[in-house]
Amino acid sequence: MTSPRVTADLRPPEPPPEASQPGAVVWIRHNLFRTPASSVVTVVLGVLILLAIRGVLSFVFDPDRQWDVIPRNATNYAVGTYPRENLARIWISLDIVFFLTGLSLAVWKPSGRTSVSAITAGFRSVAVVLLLVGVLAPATFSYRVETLVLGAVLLAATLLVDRTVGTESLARDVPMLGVIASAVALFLVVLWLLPIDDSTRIPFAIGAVVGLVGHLLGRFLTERVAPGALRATVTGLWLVSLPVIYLHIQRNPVVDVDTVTGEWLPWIVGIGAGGVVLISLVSRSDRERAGVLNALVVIAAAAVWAFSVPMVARAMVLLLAALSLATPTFGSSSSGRRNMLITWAVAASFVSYLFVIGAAGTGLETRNEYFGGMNLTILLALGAIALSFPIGILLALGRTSTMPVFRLMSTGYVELIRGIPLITVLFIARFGIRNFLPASFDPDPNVLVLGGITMFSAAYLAENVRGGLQSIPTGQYEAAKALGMTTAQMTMLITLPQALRAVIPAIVGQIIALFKDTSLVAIVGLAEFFRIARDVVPNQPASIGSILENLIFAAFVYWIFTYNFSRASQRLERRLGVGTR
Amino acid sequence: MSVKGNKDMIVCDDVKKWFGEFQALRGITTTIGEGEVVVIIGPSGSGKSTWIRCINRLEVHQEGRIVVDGIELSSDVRNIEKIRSEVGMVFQSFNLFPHLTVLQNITLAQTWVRKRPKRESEEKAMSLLERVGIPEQAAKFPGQLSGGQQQRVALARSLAMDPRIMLFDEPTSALDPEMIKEVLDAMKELANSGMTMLVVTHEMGFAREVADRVIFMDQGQIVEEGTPEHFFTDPQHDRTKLFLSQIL
Repeated sequence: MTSPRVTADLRPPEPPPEASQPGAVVWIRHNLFRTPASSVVTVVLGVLILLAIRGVLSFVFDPDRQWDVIPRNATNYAVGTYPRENLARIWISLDIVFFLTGLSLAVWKPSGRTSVSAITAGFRSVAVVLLLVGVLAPATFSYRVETLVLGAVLLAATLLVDRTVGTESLARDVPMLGVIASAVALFLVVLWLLPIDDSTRIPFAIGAVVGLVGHLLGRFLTERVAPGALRATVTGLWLVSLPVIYLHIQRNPVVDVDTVTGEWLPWIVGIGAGGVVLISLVSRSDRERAGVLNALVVIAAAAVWAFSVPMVARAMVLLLAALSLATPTFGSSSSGRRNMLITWAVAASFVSYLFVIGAAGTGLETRNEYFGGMNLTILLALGAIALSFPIGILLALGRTSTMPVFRLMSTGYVELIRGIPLITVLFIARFGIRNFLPASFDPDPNVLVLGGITMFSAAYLAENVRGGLQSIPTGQYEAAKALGMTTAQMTMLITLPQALRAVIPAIVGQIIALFKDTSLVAIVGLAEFFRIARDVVPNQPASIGSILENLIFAAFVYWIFTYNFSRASQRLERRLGVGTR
Repeated sequence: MSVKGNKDMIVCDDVKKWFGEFQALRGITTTIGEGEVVVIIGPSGSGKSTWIRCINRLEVHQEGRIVVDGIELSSDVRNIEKIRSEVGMVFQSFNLFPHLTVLQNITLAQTWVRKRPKRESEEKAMSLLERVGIPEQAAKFPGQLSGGQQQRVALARSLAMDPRIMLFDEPTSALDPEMIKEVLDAMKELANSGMTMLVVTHEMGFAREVADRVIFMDQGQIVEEGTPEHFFTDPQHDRTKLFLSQIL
């Protein structure tokens, strides 16, 4: 028999025991040489790694390699054959990006703080790389000594900083913004100190100032404007910046005023006004009459292809049909009706604007090849991401829909596209699709190829989103239904937002693949980044270097981009709390 | 046999339902009056949940009639959405929307289904959160709350739609004992305010204290139905006696 036991005073919580940092020797013994077998593995793999590094370094320092070819062709890599007398337009585009980046940094406040030890760890890895180069590289003796000394000094400096800051370095007390600002400043200093004749010094300095101005403006606004409205505005500015940069600034469009006012304007104004009337009517109607009106507009959207009308009219009627179908769900209240009418006004203006500007000629000297290099790669990647997202979501919803027609169409599309290699899609988009379009409508090759990548990517994105939709527990559907929500409301407000959050990693993987796949457009004749790497050597007047240096440089640049995408997605996941909420 | 009120809120007439070959409901016939609190008990698999899920058409019955507040359930979509917005439901697993804050969970359906202005919805949500005793949790996400708190938010979310009938599908079965009480207290308070309630539960204390009527179900049918006194002092059917002897 045990006697009963009662704790008279319940204890208050105690701080956790202090974690002792293991020394380097202990760590090495524990992790690398724990057992005889693991010691052998460590030694063998270590030797292999060193040999691999030596192999890479011997390639890099081979006297036959002329890395000079990369900086000499920097402008080609950046913009391809973009007219050189108009390079200022590229810099203005970059300044817009810098400005919006500065603004966003102020508005979203990267709340992350980093620690001194994390920063010194970064510098320490640089020091280790320098030391490895100094020891292993087959370069001249003086070069190796210089590198060794530089690496040793850097290593000593990081250790010294760590020692002086001591345990406090573990605290996250360095604002991310400061790190970003220092990195920009360091970049500018290095650029000005490098002993090369460089025309980018002044434009980059201006860009940094523009970014700073954007940041200060953002700080000024965050104290005076509601954060929600400000963030929505900045997001809108980012979305608008893409067409502004690529359609206006870099293209300098010259609109054919006669065609637009004579042939297009009556259609644009007519359908615009008709849309206002239709959406108001549908939102005030009961279900039967709304159904009849919607059936009529869907028939009109199909019928308009049979008649000879401008392409812009067809696109607008299609858009009107989509909005009109959504009106009974979202536009039945007076505020809903107002929102639907605003959406129609914005969407109709945007579509007609795209057609007017898209059909315009360019004021620049060259016609078809003014987009090239990294500039074109980014246009294709960002454009395809922005466009394939809504299409992919619609396809996913169609495929999970209970309506057989939607399901059949979406499934058919996804299975068809996924069964075709991207290269085939690109050839069809670039050379084949013209046969199906009216002769009066002759889009730019860049637009056709962008369309091809978008259609391809949308099919894969649809499958990712569908996976997310299937991961939503049935209880979520039941709770939404029990509250009286319609299917459309349930999808837009409950299941789709959760599904998108769940598949962020898959979507980022898709975006990375899409970014790299843009290199395939080289084969259908567009001079994007990879094509430049392939073509600079045969095309330059004096022979420097070989294609090998250029391909390795291109691979490195693609890696830098995709690695950063993947880092950004990890941050986004943490921020949205995927898996914790 | 409605006890309270003079209006029939739910009329079920020979309701039958099959899952494949298995017959889940073998003809349920009963009437529930306005303001009545009915507790449904019975072993698992007896059709309790299936029945109340038929009342807001989360399950579709195949034979018989169900009339809710004068509207017969049919395949007409408008009827279903109308009835669902009049009938609140609280689930065993809460089913809060994890991507929205507590406040947004309660205001969402008000603004989109009831078309209430945002401020009015928020005021309503806050007053309901106070009623269930957790106004300080409004800005948190469901994942940060205890089970009992989550279930009370789910209750507030349903009540925000001003339902005329509340269905409870084993609301305390996923909770530990200390949390069961806080949810039952909120339900008692709701019963005393005159809400028509249909509660599937194993909480016999709640049945004894709050119910106007207890229904015992087994094998997809109503075996015995009566006042709590009748049930806990003088059950008639052998199956009822056996069930009660095992859980009391």
